[in-house]
Amino acid sequence: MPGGFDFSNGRATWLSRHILPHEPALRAQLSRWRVPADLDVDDVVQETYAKLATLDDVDNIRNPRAYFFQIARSVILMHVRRSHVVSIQAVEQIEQLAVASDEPGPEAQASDRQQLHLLAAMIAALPGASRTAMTLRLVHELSHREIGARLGMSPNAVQKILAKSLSTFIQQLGRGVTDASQASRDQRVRDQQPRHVETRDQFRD
Amino acid sequence: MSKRETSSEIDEAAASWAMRIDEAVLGGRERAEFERWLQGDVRRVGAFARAQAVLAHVKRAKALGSKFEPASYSRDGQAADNVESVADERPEPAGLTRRRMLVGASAVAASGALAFLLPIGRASARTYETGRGETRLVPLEDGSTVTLNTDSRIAATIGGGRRTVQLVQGEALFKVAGANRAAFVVEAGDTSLRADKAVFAVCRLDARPLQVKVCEGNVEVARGAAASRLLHANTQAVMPPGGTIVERSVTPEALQRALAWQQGMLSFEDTPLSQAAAEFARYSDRRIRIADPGVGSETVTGLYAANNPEGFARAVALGLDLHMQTSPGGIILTR
Repeated sequence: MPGGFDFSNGRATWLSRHILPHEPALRAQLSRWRVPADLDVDDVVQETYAKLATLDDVDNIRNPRAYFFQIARSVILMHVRRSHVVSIQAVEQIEQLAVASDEPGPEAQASDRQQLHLLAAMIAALPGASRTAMTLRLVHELSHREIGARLGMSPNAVQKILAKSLSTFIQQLGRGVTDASQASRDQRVRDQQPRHVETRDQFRD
Repeated sequence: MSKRETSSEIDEAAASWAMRIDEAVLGGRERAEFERWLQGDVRRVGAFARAQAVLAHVKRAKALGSKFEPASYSRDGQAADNVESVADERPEPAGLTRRRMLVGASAVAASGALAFLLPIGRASARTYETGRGETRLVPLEDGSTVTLNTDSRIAATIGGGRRTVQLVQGEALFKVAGANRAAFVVEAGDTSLRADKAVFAVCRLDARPLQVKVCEGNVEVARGAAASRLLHANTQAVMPPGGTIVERSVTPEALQRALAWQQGMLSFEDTPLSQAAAEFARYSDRRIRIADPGVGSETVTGLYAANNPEGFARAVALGLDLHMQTSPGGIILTR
């Protein structure tokens, strides 16, 4: 990434390097923590990111993974304390949970090359026009207008399909998909409400 | 009340804003719309931050190089060799400038977005402080610097069209970078100081009127509802409560002496001893007490180390023929 970018967009870069890789593990942890039923896991994740985004300073965070888990835990606790529906037992259950392990998850250890490979697969798995638009945006860095001119679309329409693709990536990265083409197909299959069990055959192990 | 927005609806909106802000700087109306959206729900702040993080992550795809063909990539299945070869490819210098410019533009937009993002919960202001006896140089993101004197605190909000530093307490020297930026504003209580490309110091201490020293450039002072006043270089202004501004010109040398604290020194010139002792008290817990008022009005001159009240007291005792007594509680000067 060019020097200037890193500085001005520092928090997003920090989140992408140190927090995003642990989101799947956090989600797994959240399901183990048995988050109270009236609390949505996705809401907890968003609120956790909000806290991390608005911290004054992240330079002193030695173990982002543990910190990420700890913040999520405090978000849950806050909600639990606020709602009178949940029994005091639930609070105790969550409070007794040990803070997440210090070991980095396997997803954080993926090499740059593996990451690049995964990225390429994620882009390749996007549907037709989205795939082209995203490639032109990310790899060739064209503007929405320039992409529109190539695809015969309005800049507005380009913006829409790019946003949709980014949403897909947010879902995939947050939920720890290691095979993007599978995830994308999975998503599409779910969208279409599949009737045939044999769609499974397409999936690699 | 309408139905609660789901987290995936928020994610979609966040993705849309992230893509828009990545491409171009938001215009005034869009920007206001974005701020309104962001402030509507704390989950949106998180979703937007994550969308930006995901975008920062997927932008690494640029390393795939211009020969990357996503369509064939998917058909080839594991096209690892393909990735490796394009990843190693160095960008050709010819087409570089334009691309770099585009990246630059999106960087500006992104920094603006973060500046918007952060005002939620007033977190955008970064706080810097010094303990007693410390000084600290703080470089700000706009290229300006602030040097904090002892026991001082500032909260700086830089970015998103704002350059505001709140002087919460203590003393600070501002070296403001200029050129085509928003005015740099220092706020100290009810007083605000605006400048562009200037060097000035502001001192805000309890029990003392606010003081401003302008070394270079111009500083516009506004207090409450009163009309603002322009202070030029080589001016010192004192602002007692009640809205008046008392200014006088000073020589550059006198200003340098007054700002000797940057080098950890205190400079006095015919300064009453009681005042010098009060000055030392800002830098150390070890107090200099003066036993009788007659002694306090004697004057001192010279350059002293701010962190060595004992050395100062010894020199003064010698010069003014005083008796110096040290105790765990401090230093006492008597006739």
